[in-house]
Amino acid sequence: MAKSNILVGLLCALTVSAVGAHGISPTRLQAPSGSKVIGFQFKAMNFLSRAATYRVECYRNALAFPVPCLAMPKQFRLSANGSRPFRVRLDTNGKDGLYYVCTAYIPEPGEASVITRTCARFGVGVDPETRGAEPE
Amino acid sequence: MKKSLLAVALSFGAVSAAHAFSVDTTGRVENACVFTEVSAGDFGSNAIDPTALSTSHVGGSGPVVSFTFTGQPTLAITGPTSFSTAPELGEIVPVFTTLASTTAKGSLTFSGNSASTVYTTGSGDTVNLGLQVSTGSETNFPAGDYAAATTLTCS
Repeated sequence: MAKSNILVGLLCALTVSAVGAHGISPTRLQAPSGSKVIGFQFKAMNFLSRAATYRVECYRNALAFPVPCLAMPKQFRLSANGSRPFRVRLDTNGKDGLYYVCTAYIPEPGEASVITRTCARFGVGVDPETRGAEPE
Repeated sequence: MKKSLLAVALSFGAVSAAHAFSVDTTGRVENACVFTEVSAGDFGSNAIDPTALSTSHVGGSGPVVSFTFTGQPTLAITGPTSFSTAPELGEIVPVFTTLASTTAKGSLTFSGNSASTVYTTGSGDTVNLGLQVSTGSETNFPAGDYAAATTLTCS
């Protein structure tokens, strides 16, 4: 029993790698209150010295609440130190709030079980910085 | 009289030559993060407690994530609520507890499985993560490989 428990505890070997080195631009956007549709062309950047795959994800108000968004492309692979534009269109249904447009690093098979995301904040009727304040 | 007229004329000339110019210096600071290094974690041997998996058990280590930033970004940590890899668990409903501390901020307080902190000073930090999983009962974890993903988000 103890042996099997030890086996249970021994998981994949510790790997050290520079995963998730990526960014998104711009990181702050704002739209008027009541906007039914928001969209923008973002730029995804890969700071790794190797190719990496990223997925576009959208959230509203908190990162626990994903919302559907149309991303073109939804998932893409960037070359080493490469970047590319991608478009996002999101139907807000007229709901104000803080929307997050994120690029999430997709670990390679067998790679670290830590997922990194970098997000742009898109405030609809709210200040993306302070959240809740009226946009100028 | 002649001198006065000359003085007036000079003063006009001086006024017309004293235009004020305003030259803007502009720039933009982006709230941006770059995750520079990620070390995956390991659960240690659970021989000491067959009903628990922990990065703090002997032989285990927590994930370590380093990042640099500009502006005043928010770092959010979301711990797992399920295994991404696990053998058949039967009736076991694992209970996950994520721990995090950073070089700059110290220990972070979790609400549920998430924690966040805003950076207003500095240009980088290192996050040390820990993960404990319990079967929530007297049932042992079955043999097999386990993995659970922790998500770090910078916005």
